[in-house]
Amino acid sequence: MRCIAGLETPLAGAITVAGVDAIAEPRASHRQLGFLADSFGVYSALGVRQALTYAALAHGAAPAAAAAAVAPVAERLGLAAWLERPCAELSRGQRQRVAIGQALIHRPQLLILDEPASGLDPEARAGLAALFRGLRAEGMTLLVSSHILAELDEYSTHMLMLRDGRVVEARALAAAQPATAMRVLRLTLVSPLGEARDWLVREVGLDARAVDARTLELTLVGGDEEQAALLARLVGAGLRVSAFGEHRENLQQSYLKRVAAGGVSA
Amino acid sequence: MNATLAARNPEFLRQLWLEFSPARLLGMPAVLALIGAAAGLADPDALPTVAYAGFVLLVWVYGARSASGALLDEVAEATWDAQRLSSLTPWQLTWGKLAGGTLYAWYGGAICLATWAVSTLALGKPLPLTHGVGVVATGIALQAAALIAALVAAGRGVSARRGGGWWLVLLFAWPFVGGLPFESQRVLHWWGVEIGVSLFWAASAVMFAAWLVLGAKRLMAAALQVPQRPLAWLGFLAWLAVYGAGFLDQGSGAWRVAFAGALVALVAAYAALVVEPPTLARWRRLAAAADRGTALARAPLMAVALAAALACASVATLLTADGPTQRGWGDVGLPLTWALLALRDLALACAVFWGPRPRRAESATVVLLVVLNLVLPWLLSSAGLDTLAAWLQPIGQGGAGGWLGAGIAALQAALALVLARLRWQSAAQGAA
Repeated sequence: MRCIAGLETPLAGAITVAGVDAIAEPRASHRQLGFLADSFGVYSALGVRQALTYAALAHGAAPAAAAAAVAPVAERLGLAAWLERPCAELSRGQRQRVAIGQALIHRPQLLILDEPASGLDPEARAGLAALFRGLRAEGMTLLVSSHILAELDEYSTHMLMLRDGRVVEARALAAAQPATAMRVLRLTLVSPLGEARDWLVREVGLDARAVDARTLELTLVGGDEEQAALLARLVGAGLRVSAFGEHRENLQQSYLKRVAAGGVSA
Repeated sequence: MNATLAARNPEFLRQLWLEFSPARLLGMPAVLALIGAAAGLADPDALPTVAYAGFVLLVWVYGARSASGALLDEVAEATWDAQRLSSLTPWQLTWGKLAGGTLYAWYGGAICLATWAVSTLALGKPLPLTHGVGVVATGIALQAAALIAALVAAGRGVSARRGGGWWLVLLFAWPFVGGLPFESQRVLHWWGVEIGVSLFWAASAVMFAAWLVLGAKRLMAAALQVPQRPLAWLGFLAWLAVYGAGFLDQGSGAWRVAFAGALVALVAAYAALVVEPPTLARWRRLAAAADRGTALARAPLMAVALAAALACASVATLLTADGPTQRGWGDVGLPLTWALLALRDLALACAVFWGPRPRRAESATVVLLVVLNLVLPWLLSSAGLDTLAAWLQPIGQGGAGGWLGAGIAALQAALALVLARLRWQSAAQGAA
């Protein structure tokens, strides 16, 4: 991350940020990106308005544009009431929001965040996730590093798993997949499975795996229509269904599955 | 917000916000007025001296500390990375910190300087303009040197609490504290020209201030990962060579410049070992840059200085006939022997840094070089093994000297280079 941000020069390879060679022109690439480090800092002696204004100016914004950018960012981050307050008087969560504001006030194309939610309470984390979803919807690319995988489920579209500096796995997450892509379903019956699994494989042609005595995991290619049709067929065949729905694997489960498969040594 | 200032240098504007509050703005002249009144009432003749001392304390001491703090406070507050990530240019950050961070010191210093000038005139003495230029330039030089020390400290991960060694730069200013060189009526000879000592030192202070500001900008660019060719570094060494050669009173002009150039480049090469330790990562980045054809933009200061030393020493050796006639510095091959021994030392330093214990490389390098250059030759010499001592240290009394000395130094340098190469290859295999 520090190499992408231009804080370190890589030992090998090339880095391009929004078309700019980050090794040859680090200062030009900095206009295109924002970075929130794990050990972020804010200027304690400056007021929130001054800190945000300085961040905008330091990223190349014109003075008038910098002054105009402060209020919307402060509003978005819930800092509007604290603009004239020195950063030293803010709580950790508020200082974190100031740091995020400093990273995104110049509207970067790429926002890099290292452990952005560490030290935040659940309410602040939820607010952070909402902010990131909003930025994503506006077209900003966010690159987030976190050891709290449940937090990433809230807003991530793609997962990149690294081990010893090498990519172990890279894929789109369920939320980013098209509605007609392959989906994993869980079917729970009122009574034990009996012949249900064999019937599904033989008659419907689905890959089915028993999760427990009454639950099967199915892989269906298709969208909501195909899922509804399958449910109708199951009920029509006399299966007493107590639960049926899509089962989404979260990042934590993906990671642990990868660990169990030997791709990552935990 | 001053729009022009904000557009020209946001860092200077930020420093302005930090440095000037109404209380501080009023506090400085109030305190200085009290001190001036006390001094004036006690002894009106002492007022210029008190004002001068105030300037030295504020601009030289407090200013150097402020220049260092302008960077190390960023490190302490964990805002340095964010600043390195901005799109401010190295020059904007350098003068923003140098001029902005020391603004309050200069505010008080300007009051002291004005008091000094007015009280000097009031006593019927001539205004020592040269002296004024000298102390102001020395202040800028010290502040730039303190910023350089802070940049080196930040690059080496030195804790901000340890101060970054800003006070060390004041040691260089000690001879000037009394202002004597700037007031001296004596003359000196430089390049055969007779110049007043006060004028010479004032001009020297101005030149050193300019080079130190440029040096701070160069180190700032390195901290911001901005590729840069070592032209400023070479320019500084060339200027030092010409400056130092002016004090030599024997030999032709070309020999004096080459000889002084070899000396200053050697000192610079060892200094660069401290400023930019030859870590494996740094040299791997250099190798990667070489693959991209941009090695010159990532050239380590140590290698550039060493190359300059070898070149100057070779020229001085070729021009030996133009050198001093009596034996001593004009010995055939002496500058080359020095440069080759430096090559040996720096190659050994690389071998230590690229070895299996890089964390202790700095202390291990210091111990190795002290043992190799001082302890072992002394021990061998004391034990009566003079020939062996001369082979280990082929300069100085008892050393082989001449072309034989240069040959021995070349052999040692070659062995050290082979060792460094083996360590490099071993490290490369380990990384693969």
